[in-house]
Amino acid sequence: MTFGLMLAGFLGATNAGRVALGLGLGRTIPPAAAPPTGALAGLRPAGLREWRADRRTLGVVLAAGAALILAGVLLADPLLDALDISPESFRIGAGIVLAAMGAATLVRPRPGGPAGALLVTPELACMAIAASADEGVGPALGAAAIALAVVAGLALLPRLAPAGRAAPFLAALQVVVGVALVVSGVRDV
Amino acid sequence: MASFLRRHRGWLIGQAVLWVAVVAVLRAAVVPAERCPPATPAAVARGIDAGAAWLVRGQAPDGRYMYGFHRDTGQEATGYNTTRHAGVMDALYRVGRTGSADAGLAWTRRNLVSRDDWSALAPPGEQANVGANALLVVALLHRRQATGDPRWDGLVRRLSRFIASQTEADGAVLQYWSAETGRSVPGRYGKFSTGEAFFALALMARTFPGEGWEVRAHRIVDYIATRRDRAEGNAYRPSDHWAAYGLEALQAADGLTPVEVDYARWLAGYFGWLVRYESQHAGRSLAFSESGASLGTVGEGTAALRRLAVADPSLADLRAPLAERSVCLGGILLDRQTIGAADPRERGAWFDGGYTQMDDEQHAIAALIGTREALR
Repeated sequence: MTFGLMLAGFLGATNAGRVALGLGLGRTIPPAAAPPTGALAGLRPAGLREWRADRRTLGVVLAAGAALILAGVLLADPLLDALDISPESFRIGAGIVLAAMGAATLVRPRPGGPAGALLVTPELACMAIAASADEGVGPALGAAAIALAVVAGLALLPRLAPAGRAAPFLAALQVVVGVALVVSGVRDV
Repeated sequence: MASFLRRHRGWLIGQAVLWVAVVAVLRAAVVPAERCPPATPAAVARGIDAGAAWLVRGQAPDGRYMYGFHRDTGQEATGYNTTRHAGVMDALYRVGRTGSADAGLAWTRRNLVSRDDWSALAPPGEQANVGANALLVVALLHRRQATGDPRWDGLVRRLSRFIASQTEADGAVLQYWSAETGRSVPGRYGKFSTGEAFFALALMARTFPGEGWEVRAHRIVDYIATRRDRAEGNAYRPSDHWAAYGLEALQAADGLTPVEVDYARWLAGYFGWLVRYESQHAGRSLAFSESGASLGTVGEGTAALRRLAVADPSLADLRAPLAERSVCLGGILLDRQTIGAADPRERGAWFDGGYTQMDDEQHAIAALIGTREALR
């Protein structure tokens, strides 16, 4: 698994657009209501409170996602050893999960359930395990950190109304990475 | 917390179902445990001996071998197959059962046809099959290697010229020659015979350097690697273990081109996956065919490519994983071999669905030879 494929897998599995939709972010702030200057330009007082609450929720989302990734990455080797699964075979399984869940997101991009659990998904767990088993802890965490940064960046831009529109594109990317992982798992010795 | 649980009860149940379903489907169908039964050098040697003994016990006075045996009915199968006869001879030469293999050779020599500068095995009423003749060449070259006896060098060159005469300009190999018409049968290409022809000519190039056999060998493998599947209408690219053997021989004779190295790497991945799959599914409902021939050919391809990876530095990264897969497949084969049966027609054989056929033992023995080498 190359670093590029790993990063693409984490970008798809964390799907920043889906997180933005789940948080209800990406709302358009009417320009006329926006104060002229300031770090929180564009937010009315009510919007400011909402935005701060969104930031707290976003923190929970990122923390839960990071915890899941960390657990998957650190436990990958002992877990696969205990289950008698080679990294190559698990890559096939992870690819199937990514492709299937990515297809589901394409059909229904807006997630349900509590916002804090937006990143607690089977595809992210599988991606973390597969990446760590193939490439080791460091590269896997590096790629995951970039993906989480993208999630945070997209969510923290309240003026970015089209944030949610990224969801289907990232879901499609997840499907493509899933297929690539299956092919790679089959072609590897 | 209680209010959270109440508010999201439906979602939590859905998530629990999703996670359990994902884990259950993955574990049951996609990533069951990979189990490789033990394969020690002594156990592998015993397995090879027992399999070879089954072949030798079944040999008829005319030199042919017992074709097949139904364990449940105690019936021996009728019919025969020249390609399998030559393949069994090869396995026996490789394990030092030269007497039995020579008796098999005597039968082939009584069934040769000769034209111009070539000869071919073609029993009365049958067309000369390139696959059978290619494996006969391989068997004779392995005999030469094992005994140092060059007695059949003339015959092996005549047989190889037959294979060469069946090879078309683009590297495709016509499978049959008809004694009735005195011509090659047009438009008929074999599923395995092209790879067998490649292996035979590559081994000729290694055994007799300077005679030019490598030219046709390169041409055939280039066709196999780049054009065969489209030209011959294959639905998928097969895991051609004969091509794997051929690549190993050609590397030793003349080195491999980049296209051939890429093909070797592709084959290594395919065989590696097949071994992993067999280790996960052997004895279960999702298993592929578990005959000695089916498992054995996977082991043969894996072992041949392991030897190639040892010889070719550009494939060095494949050495350890291919060795691991070769040993794993050997363990699976040993686990499925019938040992200790009272009926000598069962003892040492590999049964699938209560039936064994001479090529089950041929391929399983050849795979175990590869396992033995990987264990060294």
